[in-house]
Formats: sequence, C-alpha cells, structure tokens
Amino acid sequence: MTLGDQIIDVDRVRTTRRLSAEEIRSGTIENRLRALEDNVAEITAANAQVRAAGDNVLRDAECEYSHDAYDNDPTVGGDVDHLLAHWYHHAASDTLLGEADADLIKDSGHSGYAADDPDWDRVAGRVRLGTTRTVTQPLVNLLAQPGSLLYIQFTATLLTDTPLPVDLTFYVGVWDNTAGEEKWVAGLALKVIAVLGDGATAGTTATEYKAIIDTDKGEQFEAVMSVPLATAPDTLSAADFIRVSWPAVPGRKLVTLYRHRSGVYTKLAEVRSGSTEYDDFGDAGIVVGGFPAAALSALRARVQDNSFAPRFGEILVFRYAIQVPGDYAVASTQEQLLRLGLSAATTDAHQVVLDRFQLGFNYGGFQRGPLDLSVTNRVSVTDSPTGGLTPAPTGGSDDPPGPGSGGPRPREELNVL
Amino acid sequence: MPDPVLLHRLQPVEGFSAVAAALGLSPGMMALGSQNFVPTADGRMRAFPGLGLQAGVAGGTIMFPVTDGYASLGSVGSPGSGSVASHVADSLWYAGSGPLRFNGAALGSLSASSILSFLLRSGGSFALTPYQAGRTAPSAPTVTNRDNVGGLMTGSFAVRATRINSITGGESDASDFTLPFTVIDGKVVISFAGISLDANGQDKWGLYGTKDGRQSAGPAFGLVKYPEVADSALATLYGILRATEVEWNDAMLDYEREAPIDNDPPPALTHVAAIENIVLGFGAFGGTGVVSSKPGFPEAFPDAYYSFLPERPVAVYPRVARGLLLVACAGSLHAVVYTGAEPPYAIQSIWPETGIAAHHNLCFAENVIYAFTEARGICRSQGAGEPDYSFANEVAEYTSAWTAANVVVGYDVPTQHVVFCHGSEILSYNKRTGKWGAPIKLSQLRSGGAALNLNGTVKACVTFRRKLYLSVLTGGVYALYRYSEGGGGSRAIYQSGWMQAASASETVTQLKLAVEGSWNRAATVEVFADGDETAAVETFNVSAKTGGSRLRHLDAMGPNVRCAQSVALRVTVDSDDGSEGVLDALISGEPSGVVI
Repeated sequence: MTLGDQIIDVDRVRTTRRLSAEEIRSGTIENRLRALEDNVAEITAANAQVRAAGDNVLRDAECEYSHDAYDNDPTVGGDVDHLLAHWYHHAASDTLLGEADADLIKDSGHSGYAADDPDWDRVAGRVRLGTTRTVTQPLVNLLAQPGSLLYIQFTATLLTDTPLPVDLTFYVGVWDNTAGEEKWVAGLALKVIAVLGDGATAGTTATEYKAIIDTDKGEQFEAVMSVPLATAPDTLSAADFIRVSWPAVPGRKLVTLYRHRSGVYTKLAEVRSGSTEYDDFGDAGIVVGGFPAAALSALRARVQDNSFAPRFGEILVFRYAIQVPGDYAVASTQEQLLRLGLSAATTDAHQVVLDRFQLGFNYGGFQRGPLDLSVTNRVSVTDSPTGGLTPAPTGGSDDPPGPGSGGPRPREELNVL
Repeated sequence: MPDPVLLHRLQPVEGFSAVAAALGLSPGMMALGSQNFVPTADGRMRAFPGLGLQAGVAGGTIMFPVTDGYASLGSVGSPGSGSVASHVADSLWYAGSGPLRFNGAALGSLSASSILSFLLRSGGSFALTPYQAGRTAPSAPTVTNRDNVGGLMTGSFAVRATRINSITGGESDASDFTLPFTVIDGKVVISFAGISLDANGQDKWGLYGTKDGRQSAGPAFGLVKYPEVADSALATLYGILRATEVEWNDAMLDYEREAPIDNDPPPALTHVAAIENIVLGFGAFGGTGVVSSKPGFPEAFPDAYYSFLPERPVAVYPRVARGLLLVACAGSLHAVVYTGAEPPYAIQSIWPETGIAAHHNLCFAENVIYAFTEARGICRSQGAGEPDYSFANEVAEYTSAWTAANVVVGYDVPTQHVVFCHGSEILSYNKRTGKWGAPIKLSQLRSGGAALNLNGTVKACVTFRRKLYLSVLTGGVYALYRYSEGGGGSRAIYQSGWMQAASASETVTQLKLAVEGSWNRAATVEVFADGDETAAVETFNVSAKTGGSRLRHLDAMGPNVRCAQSVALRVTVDSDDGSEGVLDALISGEPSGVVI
C-alpha cells in the first residue's frame, strides 16, 4: 500500500464512518485519532487478502541443493554433489571463516565425511547441528548496514526426544569476515563520558571511570573512557563533581560503575534504575584491585536466545530481529556472513534440525531467494519433512514490525509431522 | 549630701541591638556585649535556658523534616548534600550525598547519591533495602501461539511486557514489540525464559497486547484478564520455560491502559522533593533541570516533564508550606507549585535577584521565609513583594562579617524564635514580638552551675514536632541538641547602652535593680563610665537567691562613680533555668549641674 493509498483509505474512513457530533464534541483528539486509525487498520486488513512473503537474500535457503547442483552446469557429480551449497561450518572459535569447498557442510555420502557436525541431511534437505560448531553462509553483499533491522527465520525440530541441555543457548547474527576484523558486526566500543559538573572547579587530578553493564539476558558489556578526565576537581564534592554517563544498552538491568583516581580503584555505584548517568560527589566507594573486565565492549548484530527450545515431533518456526548498531563502521568491512550456532553440544548427535532459512529486510512468510529461483539444475534432495506444507506458514502480517532490541522471537507451531 | 536624683532608668525588655556605638540607644534595648538573653513571647528578655543534648542520636550536615520525624544527610567525614523527602506511605526519598539518618539514627550504611532512591516504611521503621526510582524496559518476551485449541484469539497480534515491582507499584517502560504472530482459534504462550528479573525489586511482569491487525504498529493495551503475572507464577508450559498462557481479543483489552513508553527512570539528580502526588527531581541535565514523576506514579519520570531553573539549585526544601516547595539558588529563590497538568508542576520566581549560599541559609517559619543572603544579610519574605531586610537592622552590622555558607537558619515554634546561627553563636528573633535576642554563645553555657563550653559550631538544624534541633559539630561528631531546652542554663549578660549625662557630668551613687526569675546563682553588677567597657568602675556581687522564681528587688547598691560623662551597666547572671531577667534598673546620683 502506498502512501497515496493510505491517504485514500483515510478518506474512505472519513466517508464510511463519520464521527458523530457527540463523539467530536466529547472525545479527545487522541480518541478521535485512534478511532480513525482503527478504521484505517480495519480497512487495510480487509483489503490485505494476500499476505506478502518476506524477502530472502540467502542462497539454498531450503538446504535442497548440493554445491554441484547449485553452481555447476552441467553437474559433475562426485563429492561435490555431497556438499551443501553455500552453507559452511566452522569451529566457534574460528574468526576468519574459510569458504573453501572443504568448509562446506557435507552429507554422509561425501568421501571425507567423518561424523561431521553439522552435517547435511541430503535426503530431506536439512542441516543437522549437535555441536558448538557454527553454521555460516556468506552474504552476497553487505546486507547489514548501520542501523538496519534484519529478520532471520528458520524452522527447527529435534531429531530425538532427548531433552536439550538446560542451559543451551542459540545465537545468530552477522559476522564481519574481513581479515583483521573477524568478529560480529558491531558498533563502536561503548564509551563512558565524564564531564565536569555544572559550576565545578577544574583541577588536575586525572580521573577515569568504567561501567560494567549487565543485561537481563545474561550478557555483560563494558564501557570505558577514551582518556581519563584530566581536569577533574582535586577534591570532589557536591559542588565540584563529575557527571558520568554511559550508553543505554537495551535490556540493561544493572550498571556497576568503577573509578580510578589517584592510583586507587573503587567500585563507586550500582545503578539499578535504568538511569544512564551518575554524579560523582566524591563518595569513597569500595576499594577494588582494578577495573574488572566484561566479555563484550560493543553492541553487536547478534541475537542470543536463552530459551531456544525446538521440540521433537514438531516443526517450529523461529524468528529473530537482528538490529545492526547504528554506529557500525561498515566502510572497513569486506564481507559479511550469516552465522549461527549453539552454546553447547546436544546430548544426541545432530539433534537440532534446521531448514527453511530466510534473511531479509522484510518480515513475512517464507520464500526462496531470487538466486535459488535461477538455479537450473534439479534439487538434490529426494524427500522433505516439510513437503506438503506449502505454502509455508507466514506466521503473521506482512507489515514490518518496529525496531526490536535484537531479541523478539515469536515461535509458531506448524502441523505435526 | 542631697538625696540622689534619678539619672537614668533602664527597662531592658525591648530586645537586642548590635550597633557598635551604643550611645543613645533606647534604654529598653540590650546593647552589644550582651549575651544569652532571648526575647520571650511575653515581651521580656530572659536568660537562655541552654541546649538539651539528645543522647544516642546524631545530626548531619543538612537536615529535613520528613514524615513524622526528621532526616539528615552527611557525617563529619562525609559531608552531605541534596535533600530527603517523604512521599506516599511515609516512604523516604533521597538524592545527593552523604550518610542517611532518620530521627538521628543511622539507616544502616545507606548514603545518598545522584541516583534517586527510596525506602519503604513498615510500622515505625524503614526497610533498609533501598529501591532506586525507575526501572528499565525488559527485553521482549518470547511468544508461541497455540492454534486450534478453542482459544479466543484469531488474527495477528504482538505483545509488549513491562517490569513491575508490586511492592512499590513501579512499572517500567514497555519492551519492544515481539515480532508479530498469527493465531487461529487459539491462545498464546508468553515466555520470559532467559530474561531475568531486574535487580531493583521486580517481582512481576506486565503484559500488553495489540488489537488484531495492529501487530506491527500497535498500540498495545493492558490485558483485562491478565494485567500482570508474578514471576513466581511462571511455569514450564508445553515445554516452554518460564511461561504463562494468555488469550484475548479486541474486547478484552483495557483501552485505558496503554503500554507505557514514558515510565522513564529519573536522570542523575542533586535534590529531590515531593508535593501532592508527584516526586520532583532537581539538578538534572547539567544542573538546572527539574523533572517530575507522573502524578501517582512516583517512579516514572517522562521526558516531557522537564523544565529548567535559571541556575542550578543550592537547596531544595522538601516540606510543602503554603502549598509550595521552595527551591533556592545562589542568585534567586523559586517556588514549585502543583498543577496536575503536563508537566504537573509549575515554577514561580519568588525572589528573582536574591539567593542563598547554602542549604541552611533559609527556613520557613509558618508562612514567612527567613533567610540569610550573602552580602545583604538577614531578610524575610513579605507577601509577594521583595525581601524585607529592615526588621534585622538591629543586627545587620553584627552579622555583616558572617560567612554566608556557615549560617544556619531555623525556627523553634514554642519560643517563636527564628534563629540565625553562625559558628558557635546564635541570634534569635522572636517573630511574635519582633525583638532580637542577645547572641547565644555556645561557649557560655552552663551545666549544674559549672561552665560548659560546648566548643562547637552549628552545622544544621531542623524543626521536629515544633521544636528546633541543632546539629552541632563538637568532639568530632554532629551532636544533636534541642534548642532552648533547659539543658543547664547559660551565662547571661545584660549590657546596657551608654547613657550620657544630661549635664557636663554626673556622679552615680545609687543603683536599684528589679529582676525576675529564680536567680539561683550568684550574679554581678558592674558599672562602667565614660565609654570604657574594659574595666568596671564599680562591681557588686549579688548572692544567690532562694524562694523560687519571682519578682525581686535587689538590695540597693551604692556605687561611687564620680564625674562620669556617660555610664553603662552590666549585669551578669549564671542562669540555670532560663527564668532570669532584668526588669528595671534605676541609676541615681547627682548631676554636675553644669551645662555646657
């Protein structure tokens, strides 16, 4: 629907449901606007008989083509026909992720297959994951731009009914595979800013602060100063104070502020209110040995799901919104990869079964990417657990949701296998 | 020898005047050199009864009346700043710096900071686990739809969640929307697995859902059947951890309760106050910002509720008087009044060009503001007009050398004294009679008849249950004393002004004194001549009296002060109960008869 259409719709609302004089007289402007919006939504919903699918920039999204079938014309057969096209696997600790044929996910028919995990279920067209090795696919271009919101979705089920480890987490995000970068696409390092309070007298006692930020998802970030505040008051007081601020990390639930001054490190404050600033009036704090460190120092284009729980006997759709940090310096990035994995190995091998990947800017039902549609060879799979489930569940409206914190994930049930 | 004629008559009941050259002073005034005589409500001047030490409690750097008691911030080693206010259910809100005390007793090891915090009260005591005002929006929960289970939901929806502290009632901003989901004849399982409670007392989650079809744009409204869910009630449902199952349709949304997006935590603050049903924070945004909570939601500080003072506040007086809160800056004084609009308060300038240097430079005495201003000294409010300095003319010269930051102003209701303390002395002003008292010297107090040098300085004060409490730095602690308590009395001195001889000179030969009070201790009466206060010409010892507190006519004294061009009188009495007063002094003798 174009903007013009929306305007027309609003006009239709005005003509189809006129507000009564009493409504106009007694209603607040907000209420009348809301009524108007509701009517627009009703008409919009009524008109939206066909829900659009989301866009998909991934290749071999259904895990149905071998490398041979996807990229060779004519096909050559052999081991290359037992490599999953465009899906690679690497150790979680790998940083510069190789994209050689040897890094592609294999199926058991490959001559080099040695209980690989993840592996490719070439019969059904699925990726099976049961270790901490990660599954990756290079993106065809630099899809993750600063501030953009990406939607990733896939289906998942369990190979057996053995429960997953209790503390298992799932993560997915965009990896900067540029030599020298080799990390999750991230924003700039989180900074603590310290300035003299209003009216404070400048001094010469260099003072430095560090904030450790704990989120409700168990992540821990650190924010540091670029350089200590060299002009900090020599004696801190209610009049001569330093105002310290730190970034509003989404989901933060505790910020612990530390200070380094005159050679002494102190734990200064614990901020639980969500406030992003603190005035240092010179509280003695608690002396500590030094600044503690946290695992993370920047917001990342990465989502972690601490409650990842696919089920045996059912196929669920998992969806996530990946927020690319607005201050991500994309200019130095040469290549981006979609990367996903588990925090721990499953009890049973290959237990998490993944399929129907979709990554794009729009939120909607599954569809293959345009590159998949240009493949001339036949699919490599011979069966599909999701066969007969067309069209794929859209799961929701084609309307794009608002920016997320990187964590929203609706899960939807599909029909039992 | 002729009978002596009356030369001078003194009735020192009109108060104290500190003019340096006390010649020509009204015979009803006490002159410079007087001490420890205070003006009483009946129009007399009586000896100061002393200070009553409050054992087992301590004061602070700054003190405030709160709820049914008083609070303080600061200790000797950690000076306090900021303010303490009471709000709903006697909760105690504080921001600033320094250790926190209530009714003189330490509240655990709690100290104020720029993070607005509060304590809840149960019975007569405060829980010592503070809450910080505000809480952050949680990460969005996980939702899993359950189709075809006979539920009420059919359509596309999204959910938002909030954090709730059911004890304080505080609620956070709503989380981001979950990604949209579609349900067919079903329900939805909302899971907080992997999302922990905050560290600020949260125990519940608030749930908000959209209407069908508004899954992307919202807004989300409260679920009528499931307005909130206790974290303890979350369970594993259908294999989903920490979950609760809900269902709604458009008719089951509470359209009066939209998912909050303006329950923001307060920024860093220097002061806090409360009026009506809002909490106000001061010192935000570089120092001049003022922010308030939503009415009835003391932990929610919307961005839209900001305004600014012309300069950062020096002090905030958190007890409402005349329907307003006072906010004092270095160069101006303002009132904050409740409006209930948006924002729910308004700032009005009271004294646009007159401010104070420190928190205790100002107090409210009933409906009048009394203050000590830098450079201009003591003043008070007079209606809506400019500050009135004239009432303090008698002491203006005396206080001109005071350091404003060290002046403590307070009000004692029983005596109706507005006191102006500086270091180890106190000037009292009786607001009923309009009279000033002679300086109260902390070094000249008495205990059991013996000298008691308090050797301290007044740092703060507070009016509690109508009585004034003084926080006196002495012996390395902030000892707390009750004003005019009869703690042992004081050495009171009445010093008259100089009385010039009507003729060329005069000879004083008789002195008669009428006094009142107990006079349980010995006293001295000295006569000075010719402007020399360093050495008395005559000194008379007056023995202690018995017989209770009453009018007394002391035995007539026979000085022999010859050819004096001026005379002055000094009466020194060690009071032990604050009843002593000098009512009348008749100075008689013989004038020279020579008129120049």
